[in-house]
Amino acid sequence: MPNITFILPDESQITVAANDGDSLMQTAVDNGIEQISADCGGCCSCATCHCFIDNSWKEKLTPADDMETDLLENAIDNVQENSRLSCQIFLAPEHDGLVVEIPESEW
Amino acid sequence: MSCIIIGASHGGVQAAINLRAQGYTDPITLISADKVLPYQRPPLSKAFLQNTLPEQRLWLRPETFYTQKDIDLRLGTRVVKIDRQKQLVVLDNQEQLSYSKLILATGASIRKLTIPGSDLEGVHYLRDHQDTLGLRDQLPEANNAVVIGGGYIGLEAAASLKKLGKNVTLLINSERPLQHLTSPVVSEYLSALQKANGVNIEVLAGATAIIGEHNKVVAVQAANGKQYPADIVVAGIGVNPEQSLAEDAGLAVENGIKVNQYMQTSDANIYAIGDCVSFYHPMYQKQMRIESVQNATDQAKTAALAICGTLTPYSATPWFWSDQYDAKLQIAGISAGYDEVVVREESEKSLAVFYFSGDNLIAVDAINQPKSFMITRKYLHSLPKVNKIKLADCSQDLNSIFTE
Repeated sequence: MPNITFILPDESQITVAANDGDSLMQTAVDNGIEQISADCGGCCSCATCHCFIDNSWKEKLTPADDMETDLLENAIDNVQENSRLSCQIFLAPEHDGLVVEIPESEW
Repeated sequence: MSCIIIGASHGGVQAAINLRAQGYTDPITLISADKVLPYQRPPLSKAFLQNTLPEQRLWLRPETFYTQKDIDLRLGTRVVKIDRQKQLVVLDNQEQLSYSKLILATGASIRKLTIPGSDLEGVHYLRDHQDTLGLRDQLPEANNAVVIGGGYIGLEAAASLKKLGKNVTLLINSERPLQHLTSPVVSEYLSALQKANGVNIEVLAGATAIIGEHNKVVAVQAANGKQYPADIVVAGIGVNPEQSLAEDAGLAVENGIKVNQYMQTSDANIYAIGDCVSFYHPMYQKQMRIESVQNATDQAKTAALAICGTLTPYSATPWFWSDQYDAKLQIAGISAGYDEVVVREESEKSLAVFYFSGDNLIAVDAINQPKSFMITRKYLHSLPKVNKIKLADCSQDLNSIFTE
């Protein structure tokens, strides 16, 4: 059960215990973090679950596939090098302490 | 003050969420005819049917969410009447609940087969959680499946049943799948995909009768004169807007409950959102009814804002998605009424079909080409004039085409 910290657009923080195997998006939704709207339910179709994850975590995360990269690069104006779709990140114990920044929704 | 929401699918749940997010502190009652927690519908014909999505992942929100947000979720409950004068709704247990604002998120109900044999055991539909569970229960002893209907549900059901190892025949009464929803290019791609995966697609072959033995399905008779053996039949032949409560209450109805740009019905205290709604879309400048998750959730946001005093006209760009085998279809806009298509083919497996009305781009169907979907969705709102020759040329950068 990794602990995950979400930094919301208003800079407030919330730390929650995630279930192993759940996606980051699911964890946010289950914990009432409505800034992640996740319209397509997590099938990598919409890019409404955009988040930023510090590069120091890069090695512990499955890299974005072509679908995710294309959605990110073309959908969102404030895409950064550390942008990810939270529905494509599945959590394991090694992600304990992960900090996720949620940008203001563009949708 | 209190708000009652009738219907707890994508739209109803989103409305409750957004009311709370907007600071609405009065009681919210969310009424659902389903007995289970509010759930996502798209997986019902895909991952949930294939049994690759566990049930708890189907729920839109965990049970604790509703108590935390002080949302009175009434499951297994139907509203039988709206009394607009007294501003109350009557439930099927005769209980009366009063409202100051009412949101109708009643969705759409399945069109049922009316051909002979339609009530035989083994005939299924895919609209509700219970429908998918009922079909799943029968799968172990079924080898032959006949899917009736060449819309998205028919195509997705065929793909799911094929993945589950069934012999699948897809019966379509028109010349091609998605005939009224997409261009021949997309229909051909999806037909070929089904065939390559082993589905027998029959066009101009609507089902004319379901044949049974001992009250159970054994075959389907089609308009092409042939009979197809079937242990199970799945019909996806469309839905009708669920507007009877509104109609009985005397609200304006015309292929859906009529609403203004703030999702307000002809009664200022009653709003309506989602599949059940007929609205004027400013993008396309015509009256529309859209069946989609995006439309339901975005209209929910508009209605919640209006109830909380912020009037923002609804004008969201429609978008949709479908998954079949390895094809991810993403759609932005509504292609109905197009007069020209431009195809951008990046590879055999990746193409986008852009729909034009005159010089204006009105929609895109992107198959395994998320870039075309995303960029179009970003710019589609103004129905932009884009260079068709460059659009068809994959060496031209798509962003530049839209911004030049």
